[in-house]
Amino acid sequence: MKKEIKNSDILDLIKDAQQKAKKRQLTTITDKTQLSTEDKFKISLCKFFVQYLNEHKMKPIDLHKQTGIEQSRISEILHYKISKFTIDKLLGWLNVLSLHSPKIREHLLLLEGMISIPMMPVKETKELVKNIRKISDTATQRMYL
Amino acid sequence: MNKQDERGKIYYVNLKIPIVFNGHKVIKVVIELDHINYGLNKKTGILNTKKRTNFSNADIEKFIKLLDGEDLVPERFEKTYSVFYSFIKCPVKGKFENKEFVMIFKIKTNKTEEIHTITLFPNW
Repeated sequence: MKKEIKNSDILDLIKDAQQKAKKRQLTTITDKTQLSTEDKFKISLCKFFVQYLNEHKMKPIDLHKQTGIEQSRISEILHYKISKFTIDKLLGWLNVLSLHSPKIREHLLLLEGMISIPMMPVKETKELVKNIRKISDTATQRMYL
Repeated sequence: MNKQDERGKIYYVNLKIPIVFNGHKVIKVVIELDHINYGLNKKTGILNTKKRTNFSNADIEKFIKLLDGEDLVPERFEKTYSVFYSFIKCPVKGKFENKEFVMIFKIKTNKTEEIHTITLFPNW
């Protein structure tokens, strides 16, 4: 079977990963069901940055050059180090990023709209959430077909 | 094949329930099981002879399932694939449960429905 990566390359990757792990510069994948609403909210906001980078095939340094956000902060956001910043800080950086992305700008407007709607009875809110998820799933499937 | 490039058993597993990673539906996992369980010798570059873990394909699938809904930035971009590193808490019951591992995996740019787990090693 043809191998694209040789063992020597793997050892390089392991070395690189170990160095980053030592500095805690990797994302921690864990069960997120136990997280607080605040933390879940922060993670969702960090995802905008990650998705933006992946979509534009950019490196963190490019994002720093484009937005002026400190490199160390960008690394923390991209690795979901959510204890290092507050939601308002994150929203501030997201506003800066939105200047470069109409998609994010519109999404922030959607969030604003969602927050300002009056509180509804539980049943109606649940129905609304269900419908939003349905639309979101369809949009995701369409996007990656 | 050169002994330095032997990595032991490699399995191709179809996920019963697909996951979504970086916005892509993943239905297949490539598991380098011997590489995961034995690791490579740093000096010789060949597989170690002593096991460091005793995971099965089903166990590795449990790790992969934790990636569902995640969005990560690749640590390395190569021409045809992206490489990801992450800390991952062991979801497998037993002596490693909740212990922190480092997982290295890659995704080919033209085959986003497949995750290739390169290795998984203890971070302690």
